[in-house]
Amino acid sequence: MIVTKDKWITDCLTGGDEVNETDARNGIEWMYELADLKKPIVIFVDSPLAVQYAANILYNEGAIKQVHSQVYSQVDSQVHSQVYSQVDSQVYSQVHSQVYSQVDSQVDSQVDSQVRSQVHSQVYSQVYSQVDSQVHSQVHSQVYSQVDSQVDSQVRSQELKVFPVAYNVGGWYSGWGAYLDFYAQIGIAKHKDLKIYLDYLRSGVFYGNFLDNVAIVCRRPSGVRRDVGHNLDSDQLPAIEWRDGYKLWFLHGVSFEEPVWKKIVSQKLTLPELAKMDLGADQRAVAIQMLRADRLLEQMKAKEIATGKKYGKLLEQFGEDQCAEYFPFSLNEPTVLYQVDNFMDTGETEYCMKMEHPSIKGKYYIEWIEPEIGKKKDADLCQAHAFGMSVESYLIAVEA
Amino acid sequence: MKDNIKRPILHGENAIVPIEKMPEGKTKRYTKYIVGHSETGHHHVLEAVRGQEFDILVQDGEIYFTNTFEAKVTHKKLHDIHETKVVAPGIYKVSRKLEYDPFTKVRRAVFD
Repeated sequence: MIVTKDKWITDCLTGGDEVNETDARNGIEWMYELADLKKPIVIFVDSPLAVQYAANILYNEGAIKQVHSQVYSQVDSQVHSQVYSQVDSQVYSQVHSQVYSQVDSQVDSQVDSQVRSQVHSQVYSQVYSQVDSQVHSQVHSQVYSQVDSQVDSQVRSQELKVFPVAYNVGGWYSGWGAYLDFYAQIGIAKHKDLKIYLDYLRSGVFYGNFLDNVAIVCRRPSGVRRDVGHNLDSDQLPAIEWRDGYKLWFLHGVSFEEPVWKKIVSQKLTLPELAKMDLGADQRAVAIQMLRADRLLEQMKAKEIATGKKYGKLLEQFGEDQCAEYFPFSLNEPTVLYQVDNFMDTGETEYCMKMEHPSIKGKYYIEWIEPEIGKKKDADLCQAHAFGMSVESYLIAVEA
Repeated sequence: MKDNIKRPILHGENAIVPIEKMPEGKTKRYTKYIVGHSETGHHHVLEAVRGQEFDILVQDGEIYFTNTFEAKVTHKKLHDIHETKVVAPGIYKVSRKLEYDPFTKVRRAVFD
């Protein structure tokens, strides 16, 4: 399952931006035929934005009559009923027959059917969670849908029409593709056209519009950069880009316009500038997170109001040698609590803690605390509160 | 350090705190369990040794476990890791550090 999952993720995201136009065309024509639609002209372009531009050009030329045709949903429902649900029932009956044959037929029928449905759901959920949902999450949720939303807003900002995107493309349905592929590999999924469909999903088509008489599709990105959590992320280059030059910038899964991204990654963004920018909460949070702790505190004109006593108490009780051996974190700098007046020009007072990573000397980070706790000016209390512990528990806890 | 104090363990953003007894509920047995699920993929994992198993209960979004042996909690990351810590035999509750967001005025889980 892991091999299937990894292969689909790699192919969809970093498998290169070549398209097998034969497989793509065969698959698209097959889907239109399933939906009882006329064979479309298939147009290949280089990026999702180019797909929308091409659709707008054809619409303006009169080659496409309506923006919101039902083609993509007709195609989707036919593919679903012809392929997915047939494979799904093949899987169910295969699992059922393999398990049932092991079970004594004398077992009470109510227990038997409970066991069967439980096993089916356990098998399904294991395959789903290890193959389908991981591929879907990494390819669709963390990449495709981010791209889709950026394309949507860029097209709207230029006062062009946004044509609905097709579901049956690699960027969206790779999770399903991995699921079907896995069951085909182990010989359970048998459908006469499964190969056409899987070859299509693997052909390199990433995004597209399925319209009346025409399907416009684009290739996979030429570059995708992600953090260890598989979120689009790069502080060096665009997080995702296509060969026609279309690029998007992300930090930890949050998109930014290029000029803002540049300011953030070069540590040139100031808090007053940030306050004036029209950014969403996620963008502000990431921008602040990217600022080094010392710069952030300086820019906020934060005042130091308390220092944690935990480490000092441990050193006093056990001495430096024993602390070095049993409580090495106590040799780090203690937590420092800061007060920030008129936070981001709101007139409000906020509080934050600066702390050193317990296992990595010299790495600092900032965490905020509710004002009603912060104003008590007790750094250890703030830490205990954040961890949901009593102060007594916090003071004796070991840290790593 | 053997000083007869059952110390909580603060492993990154996760607090593993000794408690008196497990809450009521059906437990499951595991040799390994993710106690700190990380968005960025570097989970904090409770690990038994030599085939021993934990009794784990998840209730109202919180994790409780019992171990009758010395176990460890590790951090699955290639860099900037939190040190592995020994978990003495006992009964524990695992909770996640929460951070206040001064922009939205709500608390959210801290992630590595």
